[in-house]
Amino acid sequence: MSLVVTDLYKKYGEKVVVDHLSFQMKEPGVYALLGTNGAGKTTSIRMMLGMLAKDGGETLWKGKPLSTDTCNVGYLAEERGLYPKYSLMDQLLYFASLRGVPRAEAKERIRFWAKRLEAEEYLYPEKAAGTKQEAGEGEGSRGKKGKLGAGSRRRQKPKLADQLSKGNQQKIQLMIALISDPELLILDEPLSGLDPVNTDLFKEVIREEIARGKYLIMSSHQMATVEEFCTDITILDRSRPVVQGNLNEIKKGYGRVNLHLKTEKDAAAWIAAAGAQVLSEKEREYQLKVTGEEQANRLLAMLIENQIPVITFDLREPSLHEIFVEKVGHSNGQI
Amino acid sequence: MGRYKEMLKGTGKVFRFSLIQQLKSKVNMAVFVLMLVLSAAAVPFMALQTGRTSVHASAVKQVYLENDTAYPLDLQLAGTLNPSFQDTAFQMADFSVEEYPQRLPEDGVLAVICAKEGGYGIDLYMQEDSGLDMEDTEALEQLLAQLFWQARVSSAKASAEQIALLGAGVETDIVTEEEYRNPRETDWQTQFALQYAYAIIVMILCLITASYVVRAIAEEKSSRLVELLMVSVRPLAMLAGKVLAMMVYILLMIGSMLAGAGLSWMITGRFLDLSGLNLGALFGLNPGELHLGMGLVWIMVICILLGYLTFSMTAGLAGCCCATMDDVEWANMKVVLLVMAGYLVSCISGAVVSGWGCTAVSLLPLISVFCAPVQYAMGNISLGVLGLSWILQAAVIAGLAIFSARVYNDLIIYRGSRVGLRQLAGMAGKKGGIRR
Repeated sequence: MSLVVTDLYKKYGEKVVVDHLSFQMKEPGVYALLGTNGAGKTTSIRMMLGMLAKDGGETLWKGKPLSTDTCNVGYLAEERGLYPKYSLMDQLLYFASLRGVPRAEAKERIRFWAKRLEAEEYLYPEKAAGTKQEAGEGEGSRGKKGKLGAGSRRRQKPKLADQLSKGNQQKIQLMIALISDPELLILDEPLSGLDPVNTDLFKEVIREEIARGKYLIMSSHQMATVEEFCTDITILDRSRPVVQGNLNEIKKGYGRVNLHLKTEKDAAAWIAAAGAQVLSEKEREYQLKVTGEEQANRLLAMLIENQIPVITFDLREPSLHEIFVEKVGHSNGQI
Repeated sequence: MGRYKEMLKGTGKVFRFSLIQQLKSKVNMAVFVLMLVLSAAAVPFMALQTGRTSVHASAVKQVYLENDTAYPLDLQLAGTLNPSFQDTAFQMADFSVEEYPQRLPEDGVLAVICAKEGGYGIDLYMQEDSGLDMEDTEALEQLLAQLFWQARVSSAKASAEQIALLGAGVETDIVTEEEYRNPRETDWQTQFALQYAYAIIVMILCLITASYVVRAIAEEKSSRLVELLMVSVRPLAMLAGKVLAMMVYILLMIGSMLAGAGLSWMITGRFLDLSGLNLGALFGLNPGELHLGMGLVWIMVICILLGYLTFSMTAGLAGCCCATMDDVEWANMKVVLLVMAGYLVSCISGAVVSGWGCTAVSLLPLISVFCAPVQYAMGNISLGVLGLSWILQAAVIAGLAIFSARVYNDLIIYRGSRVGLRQLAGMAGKKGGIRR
């Protein structure tokens, strides 16, 4: 057993913010901590990492209390920041030194991640300028070439953090999390605030880390992303774990009760006759809740019998989003 | 002990990074250079202000002496006794007083030393339009009087030592019975002056550093970096590294200023007379009464460092209470008030404290920073009391560091505005605030 979290408990005054959270990661993979805002996800992570004093429980990594001494941890915090006025390279080297990475190795890793995360132009501006110049020469435009040539001769200043967009700052923060080549990577809302291009880039990096046999703990509000990566989950509702376990098993437990139906003619009458519940409807495309396969098959039979052409008939398990809303939506005044 | 060693792991890395970033900052470098230039320029400026612009300042270029007494003057000594007359030619007059309007040059003076009723007199004659001012003639008058006095004493076959003794000043003092029974090594004025001078040095050092420390500590919190850093380094190490880096930065700045002033002193001394620049005299200090030795110098250095560390840690605590950079000014003000309070109490204590009061101000945290070394230098407290004062100061520094680390750590999850005294007291009372 590599990571064992047992009975984590924390309260501020009388308010319990994490109520006996336990989970395990037996092998490399991704574990998701889900919950609404204020459910206790970040507090749990902070306690696991020893940043916050626990009121109870423990976190073990390979049988020893989890700390930076017993485990090489990488952490992308929810509260993200960088020193606004220091050079990015200095900051990366600083964090690498704090994690015990030798300077020469740190430089190699920074070079690798800068390329992988497409952040070279911020960390190696001269190289980037050189590449641009080459590109300009390749175009064969004399005037343009002359201008670029003059510009590139000037020393390119390294970028400061406050000169980067939020998404690009996030790349640097991910580099900081990965700089020590961690065994355990904790990503708190890793994709929030990213544009679709960078979201895909981050997803690719996460996939690569999973493929390299890393242990990942991910906290996110983006259920589709979690579903894409995670094998096991815990859903926290107001500090308490309400759903826990393997995602596929949890889904199986709900059964195939979601039916996506699209027809060429109006099918409302037959849906009602079959006893299915309409969740939404738009131009003869229905999202239905059925009791199970039997009810769904009965509806399909009725449609065929009454010559209603069926374009889509997709019976599936509930999505993580639906499970999440069902479990924590009531207590948050939804549904 | 092992626990604290563990908590301080990474201090060196934080220290190095913080110091290098300070030195890399263009604004800081500009301030550095400006201070260096100002300190170097201060020496010639002050030398010019004292009025002793040159050792060849006297406008009197020729002195003709008519000595009607039996005591021959040693005119060779004139330039030594008063460097202003180094370039002035002294010679025996070859003309009489009646002839002086015709014979005396414009920049010359005829000096006549003669017996007068009940003593001797020195009369100076010069041209109506000579242009010599009162300062020149008064200085010459004093010089001749001194030369004549030496000539009279020498004629009695007195040695140089005896002449020095005869010329020594007379100090008067009124001694009460209390003072007679408990004799003090130094006088009240010197104590006050020393207290004032020392307290100003500590105060300036602490005030400059405080603003840097508060800003450096608040920087991470404002940049939302605390959480990221806390994965790798403990709050105590974080705090200690930052505070020490800022302290060293300020010491480097002051050191470079002193080096600049020293170099300027050496260069300026070649062109200007610096004898008027007596800093001790400026503060009213008489070094002879302080029994200055290497031992006392080391004691002063240790005291300054302890005091410096105490207020830097206080600034660190103030920085930990900041939620954003907007709170920095507020936090800085608190430290400034605390430093000023300690400074004022020390100044008052320098004037009025005696007996048990000396011991009390030497032991009270924050006030002892300003008072203890002075009280020791003045002989008011023993080395034992000074040692106890150091132990108390070290305990205060350690306490401040540990408490600041707790505040720093606890405020990771704090979302409100700056922390007030009540909240601080709450944190102080809480057990197990420091993680791990």
